Amino acid sequence: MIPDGSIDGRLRREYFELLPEMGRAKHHVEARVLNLLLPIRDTLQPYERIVIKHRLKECESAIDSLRRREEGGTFNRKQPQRYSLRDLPDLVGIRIMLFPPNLIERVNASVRAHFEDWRTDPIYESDGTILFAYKYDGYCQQGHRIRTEVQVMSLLTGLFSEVEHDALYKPDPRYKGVAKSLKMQASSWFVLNALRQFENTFENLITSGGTIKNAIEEMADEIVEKLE
Amino acid sequence: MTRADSAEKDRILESAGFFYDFNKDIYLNRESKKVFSVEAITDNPVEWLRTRIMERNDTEDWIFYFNQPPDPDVRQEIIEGIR
Repeated sequence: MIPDGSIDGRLRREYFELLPEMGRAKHHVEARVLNLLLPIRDTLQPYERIVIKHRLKECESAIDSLRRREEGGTFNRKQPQRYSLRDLPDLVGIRIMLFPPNLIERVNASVRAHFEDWRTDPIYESDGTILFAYKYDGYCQQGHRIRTEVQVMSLLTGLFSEVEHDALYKPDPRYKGVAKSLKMQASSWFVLNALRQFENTFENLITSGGTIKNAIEEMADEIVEKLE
Repeated sequence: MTRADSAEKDRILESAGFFYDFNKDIYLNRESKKVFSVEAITDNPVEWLRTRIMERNDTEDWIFYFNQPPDPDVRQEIIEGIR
């Protein structure tokens, strides 16, 4: 049992105090993003997709994220005033997932222009050459106390993140640390690169004049070849 | 950190008997009494890691290889968690 005076207890109280504002921030950003993407949605090809997901970070997950920002994953119990959930960039998150990946630049340019003063923190492949996701965070409105994060990424990258999160880390926030191990990072990059290659193959075939059926057949051949 | 560096660091840590504590995001070895943070491993070159692992620990204390030396209370809490 964690006493109420502990850092965790204080952060839990802060979380529920911030919760109504988190809900408002979510509606605010979601509405803005939907509005910004309307003109792009109107021009989509049948195979092109824009999927928007939003989430409010859960209480224990938020506290765990804050703790993991400390090197060694440990709060300094003597300095409880140092910690606030308001320091997290992603208490509220909006994820825009796109297929095929050539939509990413177009959509990001449109959304980013609207949030141009937000802090940017893109996710790159380990050696910094391949971009997996655009990511930026900031305050929805003047006077807001919490930051909202917008992510723009390919559909398969986003779906993989969801599967990874739901299957491995959601049961207990502590498992999030597994993802930071060198072994899991290597495995994640491997999967993300495979998905990227899969999407790029589809995209190349579509844009070079092939049909969707041909594209799918060629991707299937590619996968079978790799498995052999 | 390149993927090759990451794989090499993982191999070095594993062969030196370090294991990963996923609650604290640290690599530790109870025999040599050394703790590396993921941040320090990520931010420093492979050679740095190799040298730090080779260093002798003639003390009875744990040695922390962090980017920022941990506060004594934090250090103590991590050590208690290891035990």
